[in-house]
Amino acid sequence: MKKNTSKNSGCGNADDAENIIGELKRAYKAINALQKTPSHRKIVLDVERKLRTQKEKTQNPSI
Amino acid sequence: MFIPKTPKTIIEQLVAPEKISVWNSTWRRFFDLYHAPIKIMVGNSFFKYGIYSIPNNVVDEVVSDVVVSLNKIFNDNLYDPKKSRFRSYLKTVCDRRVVDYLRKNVANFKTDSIDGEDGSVKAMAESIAQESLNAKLAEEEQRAFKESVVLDAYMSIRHNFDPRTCTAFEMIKLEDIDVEKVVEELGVSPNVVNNSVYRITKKLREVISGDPLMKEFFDEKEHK
Repeated sequence: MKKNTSKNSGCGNADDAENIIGELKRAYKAINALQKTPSHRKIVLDVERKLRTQKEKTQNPSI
Repeated sequence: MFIPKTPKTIIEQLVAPEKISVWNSTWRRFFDLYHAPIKIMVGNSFFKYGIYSIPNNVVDEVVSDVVVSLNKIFNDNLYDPKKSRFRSYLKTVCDRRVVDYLRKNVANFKTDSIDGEDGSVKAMAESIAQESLNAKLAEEEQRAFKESVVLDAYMSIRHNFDPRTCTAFEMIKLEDIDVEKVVEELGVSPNVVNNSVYRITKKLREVISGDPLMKEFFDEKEHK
């Protein structure tokens, strides 16, 4: 019983590992592709600009 | 013997009960990892409100508004993980920013009317189609979020391994490069390559199975 349990557990672990690696591979390709786009860079710059504006307004409420 | 604790993933740090203030130093990394699901959630919200064709620059603007909102949320500790899952919360934030955008720009968007000569039949058909479409959109969001979570987990453990180990793993498992080429490129034996893959895979499984936020995505098989 113990042997069967460990064998089944081994198969389950292998399936889990393959499942995780599969997701990681898809994520790696999709997210790497997205990070290289001008859109991604533009959004980062836009967020930085908006955060700076917010900070300036907080420090100088009269603006 | 001192055993260092596994570094937390970005999402784990952001939702930690002890409220570790990491947003300001990590928001760019967060955005790198979670840009894809945020973009899909924003697009799906527009779709939900009947706007089916959105220029990319509009989606980008709303995505940046979402990140700015998250900045306030995490700096002011407004998110309580006990009240809702982070994915649901993120979706709510995306939805609200879409609504804000539509309110400011209402003149630029017109939704298709469902009123017609056979209004009730058309509405019923659209309702049925909408349900199945909503399920598909939700599945798309979940898939993108799950991928981001897994990559977040990998990035959190990556620096625990030497560069050669990580490179071997990425070349074999993520870039589908043949073992022979990896051996030649890195100047190591096939055993070293296989050992690298084994060690990182094992650590990744441990991180995911030990984190309730991540585990939910990989328990689907057990719940079926």
